[in-house]
Amino acid sequence: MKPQIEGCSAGRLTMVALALLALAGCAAAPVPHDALAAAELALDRAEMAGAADHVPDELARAQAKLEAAQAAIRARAHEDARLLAEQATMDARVAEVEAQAAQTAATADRMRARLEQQHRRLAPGADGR
Amino acid sequence: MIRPVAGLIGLVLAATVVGCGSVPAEHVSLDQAHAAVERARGAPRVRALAAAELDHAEVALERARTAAEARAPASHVAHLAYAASRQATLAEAHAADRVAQAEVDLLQRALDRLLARAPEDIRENRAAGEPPPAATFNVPLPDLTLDLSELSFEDADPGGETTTRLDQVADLLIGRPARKVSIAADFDLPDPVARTLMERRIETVRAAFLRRGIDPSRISVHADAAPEGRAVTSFERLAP
Repeated sequence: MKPQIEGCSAGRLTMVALALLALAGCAAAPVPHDALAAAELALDRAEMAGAADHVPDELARAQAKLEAAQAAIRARAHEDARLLAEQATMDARVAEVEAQAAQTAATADRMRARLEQQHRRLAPGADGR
Repeated sequence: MIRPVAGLIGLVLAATVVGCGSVPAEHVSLDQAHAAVERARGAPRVRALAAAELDHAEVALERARTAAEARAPASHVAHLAYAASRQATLAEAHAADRVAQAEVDLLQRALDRLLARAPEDIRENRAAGEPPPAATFNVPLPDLTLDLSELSFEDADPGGETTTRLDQVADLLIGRPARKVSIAADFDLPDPVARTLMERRIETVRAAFLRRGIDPSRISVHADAAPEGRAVTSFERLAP
């Protein structure tokens, strides 16, 4: 006869013990508060740099990763959440710098147009003199 | 005839060979990271203008390779490889930004020279009602707006999150000397105590930027809810 402890079979106890161990494993990784905060700040910076206008896909990628990280936290998959939050930070950083580069390039384009306009205006004979 | 045990061993060996021959997922991401870093390294402007960022990408790639060789979990290797890819893209973006910034500087100098050579024409243009040359040519980047209602304060003291946010904005301003920041505040407060508190908060934010070396001329205040007349009045009272 199989050993029993107050009506529970040894097999059932083993299952419970394994489930508890699995839960303990999930809880072992702490909630990655710092990684999430860093991702949120990086996204703020990207938005302030104009990423929504210049590199919307890159910004959307970062936002999706952050949302996935938050979902992972709700599912208690803390290690996955940390990795996703770190990737969101990287994506947001890329979005920020690409947006800055796009803005600077647009500024250069406008200045070049102004320069050509002034060259034409100031060229000898341009005003009929 | 082959004995069953020998057949089993043969099957296991075959499976092992097939397993070694297939490309693990982390190796795919490593290959992609390697290609991204190589592409960045192959661009002269990235090597010249974003050397530090390129170094970071190479270090990240090496870290991913080391993890793969040490047979770290596939997800860990893929994460490190992704970091290397992103660092490489970041290096390219920095280089593009610096190229554009250098072009802006060159164009600004060309415009300045043009203006210096043709002062009479410019004077004529001004007399004809055109805007002054500096305003015509100096195309600024959009200003940053900092909405006080979105920041948390304890009385007039900024909390940790607000301090971080202010540091971020200061970083952006330091990185872009032509850019300005506009502090948006609600001046339409009937309670004089609340109005005073709002003004103290504005001063706190201004002081935070000044401490970071931001020139006062780059910091402005405007009302986000009050009629324009009141905003100007408040700004004039707060301006240095």
